[in-house]
Amino acid sequence: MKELNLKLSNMSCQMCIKTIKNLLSDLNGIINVDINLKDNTGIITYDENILNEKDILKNEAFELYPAKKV
Amino acid sequence: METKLKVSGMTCAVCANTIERSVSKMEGISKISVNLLEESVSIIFDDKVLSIADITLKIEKLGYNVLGNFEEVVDDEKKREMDLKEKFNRTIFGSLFSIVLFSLMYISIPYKIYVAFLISLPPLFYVAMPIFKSGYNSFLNKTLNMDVMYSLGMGVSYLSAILVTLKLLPMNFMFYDTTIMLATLLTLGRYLEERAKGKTSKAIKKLIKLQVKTAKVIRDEIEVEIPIEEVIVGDLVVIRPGEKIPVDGRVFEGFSYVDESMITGEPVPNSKSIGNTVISGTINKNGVLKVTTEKIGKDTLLSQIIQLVKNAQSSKPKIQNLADKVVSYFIPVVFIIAIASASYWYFVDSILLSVTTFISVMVIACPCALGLATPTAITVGIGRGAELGILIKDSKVFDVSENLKCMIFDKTGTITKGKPEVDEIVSKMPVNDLLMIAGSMEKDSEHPIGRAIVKRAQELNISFKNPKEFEVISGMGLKGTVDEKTVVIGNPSLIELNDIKIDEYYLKNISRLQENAKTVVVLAIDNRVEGLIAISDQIKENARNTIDELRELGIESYMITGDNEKTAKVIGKSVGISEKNIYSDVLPEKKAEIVKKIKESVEGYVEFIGDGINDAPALSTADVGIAVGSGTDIAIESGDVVLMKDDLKYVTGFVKLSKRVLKQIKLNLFWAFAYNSILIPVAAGALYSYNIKFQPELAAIAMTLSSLTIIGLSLLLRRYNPIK
Repeated sequence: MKELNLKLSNMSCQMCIKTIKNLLSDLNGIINVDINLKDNTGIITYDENILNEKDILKNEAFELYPAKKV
Repeated sequence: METKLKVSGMTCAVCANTIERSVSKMEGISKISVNLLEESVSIIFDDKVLSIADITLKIEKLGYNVLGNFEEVVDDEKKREMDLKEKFNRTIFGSLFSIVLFSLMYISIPYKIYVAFLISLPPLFYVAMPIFKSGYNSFLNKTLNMDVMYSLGMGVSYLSAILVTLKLLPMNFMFYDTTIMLATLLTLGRYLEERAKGKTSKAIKKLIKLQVKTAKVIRDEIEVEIPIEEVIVGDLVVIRPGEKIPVDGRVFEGFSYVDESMITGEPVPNSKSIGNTVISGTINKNGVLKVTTEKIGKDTLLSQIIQLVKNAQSSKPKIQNLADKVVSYFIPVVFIIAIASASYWYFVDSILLSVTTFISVMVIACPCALGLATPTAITVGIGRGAELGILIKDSKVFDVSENLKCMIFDKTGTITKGKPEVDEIVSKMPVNDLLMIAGSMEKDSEHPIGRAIVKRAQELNISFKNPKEFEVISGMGLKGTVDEKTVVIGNPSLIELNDIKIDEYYLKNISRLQENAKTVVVLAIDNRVEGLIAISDQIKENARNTIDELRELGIESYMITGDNEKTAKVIGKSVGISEKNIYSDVLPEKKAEIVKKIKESVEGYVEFIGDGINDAPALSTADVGIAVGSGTDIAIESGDVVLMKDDLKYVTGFVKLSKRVLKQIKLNLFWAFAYNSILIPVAAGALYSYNIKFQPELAAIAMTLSSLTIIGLSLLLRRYNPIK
């Protein structure tokens, strides 16, 4: 299990969080998505045996809401 | 291919943007635009590459709900207008054919019966068919509504006319004109009904008109004009003099006067400077304002008000159930009367009389007036309320109005202005010096009393100093040093606690001020009492009148307050609330409990009126909660009624309006019954022995008149002015 800490941009409401979660649910190996709207941060817990950071960051969610690794 | 979808779940402009960007990346999409305000997504795409289902799937993947084709889902207004136009056309078409058919009866031409049959066909399909169809549908659904009865009446008359054409019945059975006239009048009645309903939503339309379509926003230091749905929270919006404010927000730069009368009813424009909030839909009068956007789209106060009025108009009060129930019993009874009288006349007189009686009874018994009685009165009443700034969210208020016994007032902010002010200063030293010291101590205070002192000092242009060794004694006051002098400022107990003696002169004044419901702040310098500052919360202008008027209406007033007993009693006395109805020292969370207690102790309904911020539980505990004046979100959400204007005369205004609406409903029901009950026996042939007989077409006219009476009476409400 690994954690990926992100700094996100462009989010403005609860629905944005839901959108990100929905899109990430496509990926196999995601364990938990925790996004904080106020600080624009996100912690994604995933199974490193199934996927890597690159795969996650390639997801459409982060095209819509650009994210940087912290 | 082009399509427009209705999508729910978008809460902000970024959501809209997300959908736009995500969908536009799909292959085959050539154009997409999202309208956040109407919750629509318009797409131009290649239907060879992808389908609407693919797009729907994609949007739902993002977390939003696609409700279907936009035109089908929404556009109620457009649909309604089309429907109205169609009904109008049908009425005109039907009238023309009715006239022709009617005249045909009185002229002689060859093959008259065949010509009449042919002429009756177009209006039969165009005008009568919709009624037959809905009658058939409700019959299939096993509901005996009026359409079933109309269909029976019309069907019977048309059938007998056909039998005439086939030469199976004599000429006087030729009911072609009657059938078409009936259908026309029924359509006319419905047209008028729909139109009246449309008129009542004028208030909403007026509010919708206040919404702004575009906003001038500063992006990358350049001012651009963009559609309102693209504005996001945090955007800096520029508003020039004469322009409408497009968003709810806070002034970031600039100073101006803003006319907020459309929202708050306050006729005098309010000055707005940095930090003040502005409401969308209000008009900027003279200066340029830069506003930081805080709320957009559905979240703005204006949108909420519109939604609220819409919801209220569709809510049903209990009295409506009564009307509905009566109608469902009414139909079988009428049917029995029709059959009984038809068979009676068949045996006593002739088949012709039997048939006409049947048709007459069926048509005269139209309970559409009954169905109209409640909704017209309520829609007009709510609309009238909205015009006056009385927003009625739930039509249960009308049920309650009849047996309303108690009005419970929250004190601060409802009976009083809720803004304490310095009322009197008792001191032997110069007032300015005293206020300088007191103001310096209180200048950072968040306490309303402290702020009142600072405000007064600022009004006198007194500049403050920084106190040293500053200490806050919670709930009592402050201690510190100003200009090397020790200062104690606070309530009398704080002074005593510091072993400072209050002399006879000040003691007398303290008790005098307290007896007048004023809060007394004592100022001691270097261990000597140097002055008193009396602070009071002004009673609202119309408080006394309102409570007197309520009493005349048979409603007793109560008061709940967190203030001490002494103050509460004095204020209660000055506005005319009797001592036994005053609950003082009540903690905010206990207010609801007391409302419950009062509710249990009286026979009748209880309304609570408060400013809505800490009153939410009490507002919902009472039978009807009235949120007054503040016009904040919380106020709007918590009350069943929101008074937009911070003026107590609207309380009696509301009570009178709701009573008037209930009276109107009852009057309407009476008229609907009166028409039916008086005319049914006549239609059934009760007066036949006096040679008075009811023609089917006259029955149709009477029915239309009963509907018109009710619509007309209800519309009278629009002129009702409950506010003096």
